[in-house]
Amino acid sequence: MATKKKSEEHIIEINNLKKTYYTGDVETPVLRGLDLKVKDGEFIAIMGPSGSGKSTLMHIMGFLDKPTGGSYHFEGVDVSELSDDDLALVRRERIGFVFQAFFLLPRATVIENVMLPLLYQKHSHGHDMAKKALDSVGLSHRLDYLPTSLSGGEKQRTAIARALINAPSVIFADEPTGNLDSKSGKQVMNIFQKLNEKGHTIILVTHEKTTAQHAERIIHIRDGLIESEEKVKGRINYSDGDELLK
Amino acid sequence: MNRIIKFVRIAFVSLTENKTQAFLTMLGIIIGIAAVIMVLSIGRGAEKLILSSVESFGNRSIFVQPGGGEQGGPPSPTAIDKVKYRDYLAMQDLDYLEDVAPILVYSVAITYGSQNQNTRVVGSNEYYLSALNSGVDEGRNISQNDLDLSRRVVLMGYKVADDLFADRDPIGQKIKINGKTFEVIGIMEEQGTRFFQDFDKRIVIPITTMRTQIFGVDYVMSVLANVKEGYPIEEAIDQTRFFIRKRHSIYNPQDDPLKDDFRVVSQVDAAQTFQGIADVLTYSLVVVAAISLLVGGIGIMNIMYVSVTERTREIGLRKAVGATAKDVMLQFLIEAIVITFVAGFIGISTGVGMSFLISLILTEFVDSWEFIITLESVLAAFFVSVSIGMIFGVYPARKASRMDPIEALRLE
Ligand SMILES: Nc1ncnc2c1ncn2[C@@H]1O[C@H](COP(=O)(O)OP(=O)(O)O)[C@@H](O)[C@H]1O
Ligand SMILES: [Mg+2]
Repeated sequence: MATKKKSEEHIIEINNLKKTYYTGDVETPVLRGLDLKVKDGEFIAIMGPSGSGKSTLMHIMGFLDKPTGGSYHFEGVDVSELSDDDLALVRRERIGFVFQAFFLLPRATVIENVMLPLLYQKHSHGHDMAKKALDSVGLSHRLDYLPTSLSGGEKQRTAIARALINAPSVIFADEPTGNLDSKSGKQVMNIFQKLNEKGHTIILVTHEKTTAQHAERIIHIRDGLIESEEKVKGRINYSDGDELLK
Repeated sequence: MNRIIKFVRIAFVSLTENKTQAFLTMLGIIIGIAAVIMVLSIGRGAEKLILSSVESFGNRSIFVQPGGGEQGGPPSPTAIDKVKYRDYLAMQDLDYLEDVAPILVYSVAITYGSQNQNTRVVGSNEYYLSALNSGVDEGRNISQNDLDLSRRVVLMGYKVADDLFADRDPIGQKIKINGKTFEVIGIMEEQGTRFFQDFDKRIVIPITTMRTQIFGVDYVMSVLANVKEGYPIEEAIDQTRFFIRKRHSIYNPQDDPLKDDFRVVSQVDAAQTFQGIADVLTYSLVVVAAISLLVGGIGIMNIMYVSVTERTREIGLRKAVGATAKDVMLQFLIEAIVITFVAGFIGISTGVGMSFLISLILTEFVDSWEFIITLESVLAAFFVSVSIGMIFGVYPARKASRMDPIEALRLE
């Protein structure tokens, strides 16, 4: 069993973060001043009702979007100054994303989908890396399948392998179990826990209590503000039994 | 670099995945490029043909033709009777010219036994063949005597003789031209196709006979002459022009060609006239090809726009995993270029094939037609098709590159 190194340093530090959408004359404040710190190697869940701003927060933390106010430090660096190309570079090298709707390329095989991020990097062992990533999500027997012939769980595990391929510091998962049956959902959450044990920081967005129970800490947000946060007591943990995956 | 190769591969794969749609997308470009190749091939063939036609005259040849105007332009058809037989007779006395030959062409029916055919008869004199750099293959040439006595004698192109007489000896045979009996005195050497006409299917009779018994007109179609060795050709042209102008009582001190009712040209000028006609044809076809390419390019742009919209999620995802705007731009641009490159390849193959078929058909009519495809035309076609991909691919690619990943990923 891998021992978990938990740094006391904060990989993510957010202060008074704001995001307002402007559509014509209409202002839509979505994030209204959030403070949040995430330690390196932590597994947190962001919970809240639909429309509360969870995805928006995740996109900003994942360098897909820029805040309209407040500050965001990643590994101690203020990222508000970064250009679009710099943000792309950070996403490419430090971040992995998993989405509710999988977003696999329908005409590419499983392994090609996993290798997609490498297209934008200089890697020569792409195929081996993709195989390893697929192995770690239990899909080494599906390399040349097309996504349409996979089950929902297999699709999401392919997406996780894709998020893993660049050995990211942080993996963001937006409702990763939202389109899955409960068994596949458990499998996926088990994988996230194992990845967390290997040292990846995991930030999970969900509105389901049980899914959130897999994290170490839960942040509740409502109407663009942090309502409360809690340490998870009675955390669901598969790492001892490990009956779902070898 | 590595990335570009990968993008090219991806573009090729996505092309082969949807062949029908890809083909339809490419159709405009394929047609345009094929047209360009065909135009260039046929243009080159025509050019070659004209050059060889012109070279068949001696390089000291000059022509007097009816109709004024610039030398490069085509002569006016209404001026057909402006160069007179008398002008030809007078030109024989110019001391800087020799081998002065009149040309008067007329369509006639010829009969031999039960065989009938229509052909073109040339009325001329003993210098006609040497002016064409040709000669008599069998028998004899027209003589001064034939001319003086307006004898009913005829020289034949070998194809006419083969048609009529097959294996029989043609010399001494009697044929009828428009009902009048003529004696075959000689067979001309092979002359080939000149100015798009098969000279081996013509027959030649003395111009005096032609004027008195076949086609009684006071004009000639043109007068050919050679400038004597040692006399400057330009000077001979000018002198001849002044000479004819005087005979025609044309007052033209400004030397304005539009005021003349005839023109005096050298073989180079004649080549330019024909080249001019060929060029007009070529350019008009090039315009058609260009329009087709423009329409094809717009078609590709349209398809690329649709593709960008259809692939919004893919673009968002690519950006999420680290693609920069430049990467996305490059990918879509390369896709457009690959499409037009493949279209160019198909278009070039089609164009070469079509040109070859056309040349096969043309050789039926024009023996000396050559099938010519130049490397330059193929390279130009590739260059044009790739440029179209770049030009018409830029806007869709830019739209893709500017797409906000959030908007793309929020779509459900
Ligand atoms: N481009 C936009 N313009 C205006 N409002 C937006 C835009 N994108 C998202 N929103 C609004 O922001 C709010 C938060 O959205 P989101 O972060 O997706 O919530 P959650 O993920 O918690 O369901 C929603 O009310 C949504 O309508
Ligand atoms: Mg959401």
